[in-house]
Amino acid sequence: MGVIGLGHMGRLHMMNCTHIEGVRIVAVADRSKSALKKAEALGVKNVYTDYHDLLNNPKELDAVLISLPNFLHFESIRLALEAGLNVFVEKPLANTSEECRKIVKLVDESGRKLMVGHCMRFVDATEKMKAIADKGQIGDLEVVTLEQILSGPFAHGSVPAPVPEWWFDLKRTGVGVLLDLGYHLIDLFRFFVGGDFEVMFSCFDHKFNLAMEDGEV
Amino acid sequence: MGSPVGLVKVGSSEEEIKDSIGDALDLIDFKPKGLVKSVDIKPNLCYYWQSSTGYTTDPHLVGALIDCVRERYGRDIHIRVVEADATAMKTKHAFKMLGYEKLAQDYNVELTNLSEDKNDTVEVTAGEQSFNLRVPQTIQKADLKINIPKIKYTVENIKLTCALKNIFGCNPYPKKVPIPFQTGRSNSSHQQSHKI
Repeated sequence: MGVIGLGHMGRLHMMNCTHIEGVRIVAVADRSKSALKKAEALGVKNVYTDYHDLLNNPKELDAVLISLPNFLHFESIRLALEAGLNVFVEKPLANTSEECRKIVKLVDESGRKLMVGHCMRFVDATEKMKAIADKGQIGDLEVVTLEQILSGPFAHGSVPAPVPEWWFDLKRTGVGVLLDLGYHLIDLFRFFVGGDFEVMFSCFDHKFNLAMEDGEV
Repeated sequence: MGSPVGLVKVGSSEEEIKDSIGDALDLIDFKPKGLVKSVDIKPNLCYYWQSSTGYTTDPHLVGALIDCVRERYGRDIHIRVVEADATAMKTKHAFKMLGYEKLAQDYNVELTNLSEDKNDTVEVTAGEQSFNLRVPQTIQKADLKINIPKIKYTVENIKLTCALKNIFGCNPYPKKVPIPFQTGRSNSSHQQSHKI
């Protein structure tokens, strides 16, 4: 397996992979040389500062895990599928609906598998609730309420950590809290309710005075 | 005799805050040295945490201070709000996110990122050790420099930090940590910043 992007989530995924039987990380890519050194210390043989180079050398790879900034998802997924690789990508799938639709088409045409990191489905409590709901033990779902409150990229407790510049650029993030946190809530809604749905009302907040929303109803 | 300190109970409206600042200055009989034509105000914008967290200076307080300063020294004085980049914070984002761009617009003041300012190297001595500090020219040129710190318990060796640490934030280099936390020099480097 290859890991593309060794930021916070990429490193977490890389560490998790070392504990999964049958998975071997053979290549990683990141611009940070210190991140690559840490990967080498874990025994990763092939390290690249450019993910294009990793994808141009897919020999030992069955799949790649993509944990890049949002605006790089579409391109990296496209190249990974073209290289004949299966893909796990951190959410969001892409920055726009159009890009998502193109990815779905590319996946269908490639015959490869793609999974998006909808991790909230696999939380113990979620799985138990789903099992209960599927058995009909709570009856028909009339109202579903999902709420998440977090500080997003500024959530560092008492010791602040740098926020990558792309988080402040609406063209690169796609949207703000809708894709960062709302994404999981929308996925959970679909997980429990199923099917397609229509958004009747939405409202954004901009408490932080940034171009992207930081609150949403 | 040490520096005089004025303590005043403050109300919540900006008018009350402005009057309280004036009362505190009168209590210590504050008189600036010479004519005041330019004023630099240094709040504490350590990270992108709103002032309601207690970590950063409330822009409403700065607004009241600006009104007070203009009442005392003239409507036409040039006022700047200054801050420098920190290890995890970029001033350009902090000014926007924490309400200071709006403050600058509402109160007709300038925002200055000291990390983008020209600076001079100044050698200072603390005890037996000498080290260099970079001092932004903007700060040096201001007739009156006003420090608006936040009192915090953040540093194990030092316990409580307030005005001296906030002034140290004028250091234009983002990575300021190596300077104060070398053993035996932490208080000294802050004190030297204050003197400069």
